[in-house]
Amino acid sequence: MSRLIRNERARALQGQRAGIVSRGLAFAADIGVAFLIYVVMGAAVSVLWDLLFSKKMDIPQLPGWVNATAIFWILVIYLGLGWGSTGRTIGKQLMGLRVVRSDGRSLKPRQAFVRALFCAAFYPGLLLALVDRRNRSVQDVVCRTVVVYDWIPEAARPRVLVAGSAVPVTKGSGQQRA
Amino acid sequence: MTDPTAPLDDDGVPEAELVTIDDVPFALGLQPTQPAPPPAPPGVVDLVFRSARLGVDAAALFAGEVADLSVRVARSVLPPAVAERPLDAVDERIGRQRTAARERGEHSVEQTREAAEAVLNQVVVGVVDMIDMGGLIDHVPIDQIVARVDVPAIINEVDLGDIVRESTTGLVGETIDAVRVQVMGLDLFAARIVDKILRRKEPRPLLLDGYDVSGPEIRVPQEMR
Repeated sequence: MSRLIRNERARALQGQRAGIVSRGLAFAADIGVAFLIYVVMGAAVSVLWDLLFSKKMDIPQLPGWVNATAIFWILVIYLGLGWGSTGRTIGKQLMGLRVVRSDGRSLKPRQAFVRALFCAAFYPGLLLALVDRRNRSVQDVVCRTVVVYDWIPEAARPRVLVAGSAVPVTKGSGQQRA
Repeated sequence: MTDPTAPLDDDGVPEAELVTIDDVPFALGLQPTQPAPPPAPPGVVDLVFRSARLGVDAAALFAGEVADLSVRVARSVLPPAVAERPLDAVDERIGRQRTAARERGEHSVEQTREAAEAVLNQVVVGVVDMIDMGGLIDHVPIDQIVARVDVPAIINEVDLGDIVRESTTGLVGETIDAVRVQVMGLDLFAARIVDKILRRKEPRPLLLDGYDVSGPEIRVPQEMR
């Protein structure tokens, strides 16, 4: 699978720190995804419950704090899984972004979940990226992470074997992958 | 030529030359109008398309249910002062679309059922005909013919899914890239404005050491090299 970036400026900005608009839109998309996950899960559980244990089909109206809490934790798990695995969530992938450590390597799972918790609990922290010289949000400062433009999905990168090593290396990320 | 022996009518015109009202179209050189043939019964293609439409309608119905639930959840989460009016408007719109989707779904169910019955009838008739022609079928080496047809190879040869997938992926990818470029521009613009307000002279150091994606994995078009 090959990948083509036609725009010259976009090519030049690959690997550089992303700005607040891209990151804000990506985060908004991620909130939408978490919301959708909750709604679809809720509808599925409700329909299953009604089919198995109830005679009438009705989706219950849950209190606001239950919905808010559930969406919050779904968002944390969803962001944590995305950042801890490929460094991307659906929103980040949509905007061509990737979360990495400040040395360019992938996030560790615990670091990813701490960042996710921080992001979900204090999303206005993103506003710091507007004024910070290195486009860092509060979450980036605390967790020592960086969000970069990276349009090329991992599957599109050719993997090469480093001489003397049996571990395939993804070119560009400077990181060994199993 | 008129027949001189033909009897004459009251006006002295031979009766054989008289035409009746039924003869008018022929006299004007027109063909008699044929009754319209009955519409052909739905076939397998109709059944496939109607089933697909039914699937789309079912998906629309499900989406309507999800959207309705979304509004209810949003109503419970967001403060009423902010969200009540927009959510009411969305709710009303969703209600209309759900009603329309339900009507379309019922129509699709009817259409699909009709097509399925027609196809089933055709299949049954075909099977009966085959039974009547049993003697002939005995002389046709069907097994050998079928054995010679390499169905998987034909399917692999066509690979319609791959064609659709590639064209769709390309189109979507180009669109997403165009949006990303625009947003990148907004990123840079916002940073420039803020830097100007804060009276920063130097550009932001955005390069991240240790992270290089400008390697050979980024394919550059031939014309841009």
